[in-house]
Amino acid sequence: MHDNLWGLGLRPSHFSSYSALENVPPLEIMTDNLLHHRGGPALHHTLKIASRARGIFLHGIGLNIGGEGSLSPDYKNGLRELVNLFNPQVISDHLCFTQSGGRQSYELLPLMRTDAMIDHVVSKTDELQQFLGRQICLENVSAYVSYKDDAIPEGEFLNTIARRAGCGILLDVNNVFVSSRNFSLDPQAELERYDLSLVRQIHVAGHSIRDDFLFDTHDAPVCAEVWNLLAGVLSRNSGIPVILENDDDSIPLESLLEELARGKVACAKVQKN
Amino acid sequence: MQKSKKTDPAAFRYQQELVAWLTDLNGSSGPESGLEKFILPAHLYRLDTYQSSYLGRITINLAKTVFEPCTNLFGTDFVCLVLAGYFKTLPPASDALTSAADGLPAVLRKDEINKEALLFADLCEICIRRWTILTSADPQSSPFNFVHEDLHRVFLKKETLLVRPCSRHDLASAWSLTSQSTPAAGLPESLFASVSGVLLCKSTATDFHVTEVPETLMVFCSSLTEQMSVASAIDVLDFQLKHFSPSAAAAATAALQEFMARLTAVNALELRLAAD
Repeated sequence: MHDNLWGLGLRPSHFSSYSALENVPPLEIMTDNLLHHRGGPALHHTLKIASRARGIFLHGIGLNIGGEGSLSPDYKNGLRELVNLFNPQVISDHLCFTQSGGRQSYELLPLMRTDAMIDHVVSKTDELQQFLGRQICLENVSAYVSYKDDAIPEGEFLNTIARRAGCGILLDVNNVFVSSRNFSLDPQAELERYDLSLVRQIHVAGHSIRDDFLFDTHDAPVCAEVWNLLAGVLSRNSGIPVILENDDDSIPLESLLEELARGKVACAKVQKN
Repeated sequence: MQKSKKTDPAAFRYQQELVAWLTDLNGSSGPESGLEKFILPAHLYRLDTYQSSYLGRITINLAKTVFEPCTNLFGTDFVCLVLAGYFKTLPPASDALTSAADGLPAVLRKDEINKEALLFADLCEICIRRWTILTSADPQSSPFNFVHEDLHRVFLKKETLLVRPCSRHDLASAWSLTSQSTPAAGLPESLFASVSGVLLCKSTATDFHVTEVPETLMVFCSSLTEQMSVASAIDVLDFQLKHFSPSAAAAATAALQEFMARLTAVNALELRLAAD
């Protein structure tokens, strides 16, 4: 596994640590942390660190690709500026909705998986890709509720959108695990629904247990089951870059780099066997 | 390009109702939300997870970013409480979370009886302006995007306790709160003095520094009056430095030099002191 295929999400709490790091791994930058920044320390430090990283991925949460209505012109313009600034390998956001009726939830809410939603998302994805002049990727989200009118399994839902829109998939292995467990499905079987030829990037992260269901907190170490699932994916396609996500600002960079290294080893062992 | 087919608005009803329930914060739980028409009843209790994380996430994010100076002074819990109250009244609409509480100062100022709220409103406004400065383009650092604003046209406003942002000056690039201490506000004088003595400086090196004006300089700030332009205010400070009694001038100059040295060391900002 090449070193330029395993990376981390860039957290502002680690800015000074990256400055001292000789070998900066591939980094994922959060679009929404820098949207509309025209200067200032956050952008300045991100640019400095990004220039030394072995690859840049731009990842957003506020696109609202599945929401009613058109894409926000403001958001599209801000995104395009960041794409031009960072020239990332992959541009991504989530397959979800975040707002409605003029109200923002800032939450990644699951879409109802219907043909009408597919048509809607394909149309907006197409519009954005034309606007950016670049392919984007859509990520599967963790879900805690399912809709009565869900008609299509999640993997097939994303595959269909990706094929029709010509976009890529950002496959979040932890989210597949969380959603599968929450709906009493087999995570491995759900993962195998995804067409890996459409996958351009992978996320792996930790989660928490909330009463009797799993909650995607992004602040815990990746569990062994998720590493195993990832290994299975990589054994089918080893060339997909992997980003380890962790939103806990109290965790030092060294610990995340160690976890990343352990994950690489764990995946390599499973693939060997 | 894929031909866009207009989707039946009814297909989005579930989105409208879910976001409305999530942001209304009216106290109803998932099973009481009325969303069982869309969501499997067995999962309704899990909606509470979305709701409980929603307010916590956005208030903590804002407390750590835009309102960081307020958080440093009053603590995360207090700032999050104020923000939560604000969002319960006015659910956020902005794409960018960091703009979601831009209306907070105006809402706080509606409580005219509560002097602490007025002060906190001003602090919040400084924070919002600071954030705009922090994320603005270099070397333009004014939220009004004026590079060389005429300082004779920017005035001190006593009622808001704020000086409007100004651009470069020989002494410093600064946005400052220069009102006199008001013990009537009911806050400890030292807290207000340190708050009112905060200088927000933006340097061309893009690094940002917040520092307290030394006690020995506060006496100069107290001589500034309403209706005085920022240009005049800075001239008054210059004048007092040069023409005070020798011993006081020496102490004040030493304090100013030390203060400027601190700024320079942190900001790599080249400041030209009021020269002989």
